[in-house]
Amino acid sequence: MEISKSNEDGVLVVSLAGRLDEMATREVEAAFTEIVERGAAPVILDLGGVEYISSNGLRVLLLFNRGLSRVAGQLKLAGLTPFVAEVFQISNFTAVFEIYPTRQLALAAVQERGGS
Amino acid sequence: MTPVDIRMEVRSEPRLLQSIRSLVRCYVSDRGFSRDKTDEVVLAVDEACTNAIRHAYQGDKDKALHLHIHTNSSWMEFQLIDEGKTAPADRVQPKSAEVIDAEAMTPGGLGMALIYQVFDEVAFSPGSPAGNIITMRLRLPTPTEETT
Repeated sequence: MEISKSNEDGVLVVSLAGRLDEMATREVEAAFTEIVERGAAPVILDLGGVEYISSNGLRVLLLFNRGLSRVAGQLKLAGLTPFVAEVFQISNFTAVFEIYPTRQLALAAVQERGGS
Repeated sequence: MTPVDIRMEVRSEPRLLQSIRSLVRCYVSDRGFSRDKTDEVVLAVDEACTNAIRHAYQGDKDKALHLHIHTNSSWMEFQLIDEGKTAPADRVQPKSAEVIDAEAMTPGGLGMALIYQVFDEVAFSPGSPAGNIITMRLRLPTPTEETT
């Protein structure tokens, strides 16, 4: 699993690539914990490179969302691949997360909220 | 003993689950299921294997998972057998196929919920003398269903 972070117009963008399964979740969970510990901030999680997600991967996303909510942060997901979108659909995760087709649209939503 | 199409034994090492995923993908897609449904079945069987490694074998990578796959005129059936710790009944109680309340879901319950969402019938029974048998059944697609 590849994890990369960038700052785009003051927003932390985290990109994941590879398989978000049992083997990868420890590394991803550690990266998410570090972000939550830094405190409130908008975060965009770009899942455009994630080819597979298991329930353990879903669990890590759920905990990240809950962690950010506790510190008044906000999480937006972007770029779900067809497989990940399908898993979100059958697990009803679409009702839990704010999901945008692309990271650019997610970024625009963060900026709109910040400017309003 | 009921004849089955495939009997597979895999060591309980998570890295080896790739071989189960590949085999299941091949078997399911070859029998008229859509690509989306095939992806779902691969995911759900993977979840069942992961649960067995995590809970029944408590992470021990040197145990055996047995997967039996069979199709009759109505159903495709996957049976996963482990010889680990038998799951308490409240962990494996049949649930309805209602929409998952992901917000209220405890993280540990997600894997089981996905299995129940994907398959038409799911049944658990204790193994003999120990372990667990999970039987997951899928109705075969009708000729009018898409296979794209």
